[in-house]
Amino acid sequence: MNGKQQLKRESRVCQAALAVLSLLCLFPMIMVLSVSFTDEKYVQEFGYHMLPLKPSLDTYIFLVGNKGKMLLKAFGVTLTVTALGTLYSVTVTALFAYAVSQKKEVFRFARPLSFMAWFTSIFGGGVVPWYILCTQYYGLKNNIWALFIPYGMSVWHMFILRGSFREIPEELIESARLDGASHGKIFTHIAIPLARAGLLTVSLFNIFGLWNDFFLPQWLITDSAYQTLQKILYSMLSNAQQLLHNSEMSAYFDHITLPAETAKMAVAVLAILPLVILYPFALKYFVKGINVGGIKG
Amino acid sequence: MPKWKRNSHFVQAGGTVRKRSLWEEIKRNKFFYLIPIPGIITLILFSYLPMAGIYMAFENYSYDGGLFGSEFVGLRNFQIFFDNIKYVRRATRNTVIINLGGIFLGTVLKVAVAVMLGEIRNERYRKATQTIMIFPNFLSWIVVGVISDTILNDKSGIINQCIQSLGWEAIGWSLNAWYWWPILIIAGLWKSFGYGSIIYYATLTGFDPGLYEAAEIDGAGRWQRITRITVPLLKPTIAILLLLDIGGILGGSLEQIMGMTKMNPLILESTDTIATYIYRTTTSAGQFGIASAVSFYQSIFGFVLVLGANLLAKKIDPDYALF
Repeated sequence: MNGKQQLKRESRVCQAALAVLSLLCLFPMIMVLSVSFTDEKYVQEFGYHMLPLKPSLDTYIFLVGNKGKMLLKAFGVTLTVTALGTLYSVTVTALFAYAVSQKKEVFRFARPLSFMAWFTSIFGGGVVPWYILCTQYYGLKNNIWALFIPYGMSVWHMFILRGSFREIPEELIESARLDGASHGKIFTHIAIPLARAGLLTVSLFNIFGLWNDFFLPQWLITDSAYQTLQKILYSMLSNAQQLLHNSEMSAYFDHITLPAETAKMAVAVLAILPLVILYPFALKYFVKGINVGGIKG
Repeated sequence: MPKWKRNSHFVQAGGTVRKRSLWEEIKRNKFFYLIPIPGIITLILFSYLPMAGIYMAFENYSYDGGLFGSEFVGLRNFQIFFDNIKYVRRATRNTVIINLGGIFLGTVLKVAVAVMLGEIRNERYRKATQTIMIFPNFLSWIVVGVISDTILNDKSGIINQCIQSLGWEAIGWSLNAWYWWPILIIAGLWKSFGYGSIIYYATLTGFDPGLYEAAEIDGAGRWQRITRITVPLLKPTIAILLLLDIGGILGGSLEQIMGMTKMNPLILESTDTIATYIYRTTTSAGQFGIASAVSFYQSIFGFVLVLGANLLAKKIDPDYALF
């Protein structure tokens, strides 16, 4: 066999291996989708299958008819938290990042503040004092604020944004200064438009993170009025297996009955769908994000 | 001159240097003193005050007394900690095994995927597979829990369906703790390998193509080019990412364990991690003493780990300098 043929064969091996890995990523998600479109009785009897062997829209009709109000509300809470939280966190983080992106001749505390943010990424007081402060002192319990205010500053996002602001050519800012522009004007008219890619990257990380968040609802929400989709999904998941003994969760048990198996999958589909829609657009920025701020502080 | 006034000189007309007071400086650059305030407040409220709250590990916490006013009990919580050392050890062991297993296997898989992506000449094929492999990273652990249920459910899961149709007895996943280390490790790999391979792929596309051309002229095959050029050049990146991953071991895993096991009490022996142990004790009545002591342990042990990992990473590449 000559070298060229061998190269081609090895290239096929790589192609095949990547195809297998991609299918392994795709199959389980397809299965969730098909089970949600399968008749509940069929699933109860024959289990989960790759294809909807007995297709049925009953689960979705049931969810819309019986649990529509609850799901709509959870959808609304999740959407509100995602929108408000992204706006809030990107604003807080970008303002901080712009200040610490300055040279120390311009803003004397740029380095100390950078350090102040960075230090929180290597040392934390643990979740128990955090939980007590949030619930007992800040009033962040069972309200909409509890679902995004604690995420106001992300150190990693801050470093991504600091990097974007630092890439802005200095001459541009200097000439604007000479023309008499204030720092505020430079920020809104030059820095923000030029750091657009960084801001978008961080916003998308926030959107995906908040939509998927389970940490804050799990610690800070016990009231069913502020359930997010993830939390409903979790109660369905644990309810179906009847394994949960936590008394605070039992309130949710009553909300969700029948058709247990397929409903779980249908709600999972609802929770994934917005991400799938946004993903093709977001991917480019995620790749950029991990390479810009990924490991270098 | 007070300390806070130092480093504040400016040149007056005529060349004399006058000290500018902090107040003048703030007025001049008011904008930069104002904009970081929301961020500073957030850091104080959600990061620095909880650090001070570590003090509660030495208190008998009560709702009336609060975080800094409850009865001081010295080391009594650590007495309870050592009374429960069996559980602390179990949680530490599970945390370390699940995370280390995931980190080492994950690194191998991520590097392998990055190298394979680099070998693909068909741009569209590469993009398509990469797009699919990255997606699971953006699913929540709860959704991954639902997905794993379709595979591992004792009754309807696809594995047991297959086994039973072959006439064998179904596997009791939810009853046997010892299945769960590999399950949790594999689920972690499934979720993160595609996304994690991006950074290695980006690094290896930056390598000098001249090296590969020279190797090709010398008659090196593809396998030799991978093992003799690509992997050695990736080594610093691998080492640093490994260290940073290891440094973060004690942080997460609550969502993973909750999503995947729904805190199934029957398999706690292999799935109770430090994060879930703290969650369980905090949310059940009268266990604040042990919760705060374990939280203290997590905080200090985690800090030592991160610091050690970062210092080693700095030795490999000074770009990762801490201070």
